[in-house]
Amino acid sequence: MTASRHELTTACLIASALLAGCGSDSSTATRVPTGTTATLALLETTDLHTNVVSYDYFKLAEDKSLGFERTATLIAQARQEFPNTLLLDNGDTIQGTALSDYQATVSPLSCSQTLAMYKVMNAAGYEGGGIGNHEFNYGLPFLSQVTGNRFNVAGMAEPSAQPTCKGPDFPLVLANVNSVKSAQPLFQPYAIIAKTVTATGPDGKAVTGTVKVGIIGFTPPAIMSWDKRWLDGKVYTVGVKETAEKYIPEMRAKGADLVVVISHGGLDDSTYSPSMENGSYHLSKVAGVDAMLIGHSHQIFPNATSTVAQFNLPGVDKTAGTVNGVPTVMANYWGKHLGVIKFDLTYNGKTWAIDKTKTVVQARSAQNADKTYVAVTPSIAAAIASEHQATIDYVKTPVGSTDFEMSSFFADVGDPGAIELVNQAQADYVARYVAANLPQYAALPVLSVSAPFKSGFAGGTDYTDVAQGNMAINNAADLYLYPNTVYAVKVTGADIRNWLETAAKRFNQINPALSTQQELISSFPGYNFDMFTSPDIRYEIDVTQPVGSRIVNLQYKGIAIDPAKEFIVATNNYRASGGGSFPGLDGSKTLYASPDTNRDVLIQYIKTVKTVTRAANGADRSWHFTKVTTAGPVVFHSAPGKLALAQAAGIAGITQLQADDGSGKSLALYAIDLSK
Amino acid sequence: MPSICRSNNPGRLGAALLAGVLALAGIAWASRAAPPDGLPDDPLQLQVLADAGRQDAALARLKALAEGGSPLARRAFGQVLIARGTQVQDGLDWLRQAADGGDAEAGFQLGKLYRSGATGVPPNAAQALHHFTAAARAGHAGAAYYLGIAWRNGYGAPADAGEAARWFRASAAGGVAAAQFMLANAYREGDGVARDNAEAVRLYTEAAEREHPEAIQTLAMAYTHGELGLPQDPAQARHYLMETAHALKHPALQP
Repeated sequence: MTASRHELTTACLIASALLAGCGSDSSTATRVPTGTTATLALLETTDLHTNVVSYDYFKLAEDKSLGFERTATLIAQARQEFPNTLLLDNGDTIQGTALSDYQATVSPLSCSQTLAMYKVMNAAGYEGGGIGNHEFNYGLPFLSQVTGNRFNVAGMAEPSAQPTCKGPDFPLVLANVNSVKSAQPLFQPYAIIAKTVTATGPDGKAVTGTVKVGIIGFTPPAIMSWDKRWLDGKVYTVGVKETAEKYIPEMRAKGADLVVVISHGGLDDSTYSPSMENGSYHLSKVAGVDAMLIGHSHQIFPNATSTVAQFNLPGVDKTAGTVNGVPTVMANYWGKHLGVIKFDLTYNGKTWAIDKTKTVVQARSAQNADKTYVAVTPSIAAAIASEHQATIDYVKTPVGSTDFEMSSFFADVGDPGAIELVNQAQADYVARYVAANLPQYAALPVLSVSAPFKSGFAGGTDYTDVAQGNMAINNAADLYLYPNTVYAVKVTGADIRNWLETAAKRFNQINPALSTQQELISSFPGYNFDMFTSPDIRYEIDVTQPVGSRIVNLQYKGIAIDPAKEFIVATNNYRASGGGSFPGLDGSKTLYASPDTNRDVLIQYIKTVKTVTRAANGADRSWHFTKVTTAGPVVFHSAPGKLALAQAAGIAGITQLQADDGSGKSLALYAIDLSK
Repeated sequence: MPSICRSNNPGRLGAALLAGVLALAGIAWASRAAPPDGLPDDPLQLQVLADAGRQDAALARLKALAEGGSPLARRAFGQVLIARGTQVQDGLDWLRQAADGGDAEAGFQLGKLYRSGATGVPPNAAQALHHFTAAARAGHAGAAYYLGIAWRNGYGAPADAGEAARWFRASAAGGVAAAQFMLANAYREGDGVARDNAEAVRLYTEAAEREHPEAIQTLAMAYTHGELGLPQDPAQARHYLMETAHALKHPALQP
């Protein structure tokens, strides 16, 4: 304690000397004549999510619609326009792309390095920032390191024993997250920025003054649920309203001319509670708030045409950009917009007063009226060129290999080649979780379902198709299209039957007596055609029967499934929470809602098995069509010239009737002989 | 250091100075061993301090307020006891007292406990239905959601799709994203209500604005495939797909 107090005192002296030496210490700098006027524009970015370059790391392609390299151009334009600007960030800054994952988990940043995102923010001259919820996604030690804050929390060394790592060159503030261990704020709750401004004296001559801008930060209390695995027992959140009421008078007492709330949350006018997620509406009513920079909702405010519910609440002026009279801006996300709050200030002898009639609030888009985008600021991408390239290399790195072409061209008729690996990865992940954490369910069998997400809707190229050979991380997006997370549900044998009956809506009812051609596939989407691919579970789909009566000979380990027997089924959040309206699946049977994406679980599984083979990972068919001889042809559509793949998968009775089915979508017409 | 002072860019200069101050502030807040703040009187604030904050003094204060008769304090105290897992039966008693005192949230919490069960409290669908019904009738939107789930599946009473939709509607109007999603599904399928794609889209959109990942994904799929009366729109589909990934990191919380 003594040591750190000493350290603090010494450092304060240095800081004071710096301030005095540079002539911006409050006692001298605010000595401008009464009646001096200045224009100061607050500039806000929010929810940048480490989108530095206009680039999509999964597609490995440019994406001009996002990226800080374009926001930087908007910032430069604003600095041309306004004599004084103060650039602030709202949070959700350090997580959200493959670049952030790379620096946090793949090749973790060292203590002496600056995060790529903060590097470019330093270069852009940020003077302050808040902390969003996503800042907590990589855990507290990482957040401590990259922000250069030594946290006094359980599970980390005493602050005096921690190195001070390289953080950004600007203060980060957060007032409503406290350490359980110390009951004190995790970050500095607020900072007072002595902003040197060029102003105009009452005599019309240019003068230099200092405006003290107090910034205070808030994050959604719901972080305690979202990042429970990192935060439980280590930190807790306190309500935003009472926290603001506590600190804002303190900030004023320390000389803040302006108080800017950086609230990572949207607007919600429901009854205040200390745990509400979007507290900004209530913050606007706290005395002494001059401006709010908000975020989190990925929306644009002000926006006169917004239909978003939170911007159509009483007291919210979506044209002027005020909330209960407080100028407020939300700058969308991924650097697509820059928020601007322009204040005209007059020094009244004591403080800088705002001329409220002249305040302007805007959210400026990086997209021009003609749908093009503003040019990039080339120095931004240049500053992180090596990090960017390392991320691309990482995304292209082989994680394993496959001895067969994994495709969904014939998934509708039984090829498990693109699905079994997903099911194996999901089942393995859930089984290990249950064994470690849910001993009461350890006796239940763990099964898995997945669906052919890419099944030709958009044409012949809309199929999963991973070539034989090396598999890289970007192939995982082909095998698993949706950004889902793994969920496990506890269901009965009867529930499984209902689940499969719903999935079997994928097929039209076939009349065996018809001699005319019948289409096999209905309009029921492929993404809902859930299937098992395991030797433990077997069933037939009888397409001659109506919806609801098609699942035949449903067996578990060779005997008819007991309707009352309980199983755990690994699936995704979409299905487990009610997506597709499957009977009984609406969140009420969820046993485990994992934070891990199906894609990441798949990548980890490929890394573990290393070599994916047809025999081990692509040949287990849980289902067949019930055999029936039809008088006429039963047909379906897939990419042309793929018959060899059906044969390699052991799917019998397929013939290609026409290489072009006439749809204009690069699809061929195939027939299936249901008697084979 | 003088070179910083001669900088032509006041913004950069300020940032450089603040960097020094920042590092200090980090130490200052981390090592300040001031006594905890005076405890608040608000039971909800005390609940946060006693539960996530693990502060026994806050729990003691809450207990005193509960014993003093405040239904809000009784509910908060009961919830903390149950969350701590050590005095679940006592916690249940306090929740019951609060519910009897007219606190709908306490009844809702009782419903959730009986729904999922807890140490020493086996799941009891009939009890859950009873408490959810009372709380929902008192206007509790979260209770209305679970009531919808109960009627949809037949938890505690025979399934009734119309009754499920009715309670999902009450809950959706109260801003519960999960209920907006379930009601949208019902309109899409004609499940207890007349099929209505436009109403389904309106409700999916409302839930999506509240960061309900499955609602956002439904819109992504609909714009991909031209479902629900929406046009095929690759730009919208891509937007919603990326928003799905984002929302999954902080989904709308279940009531």
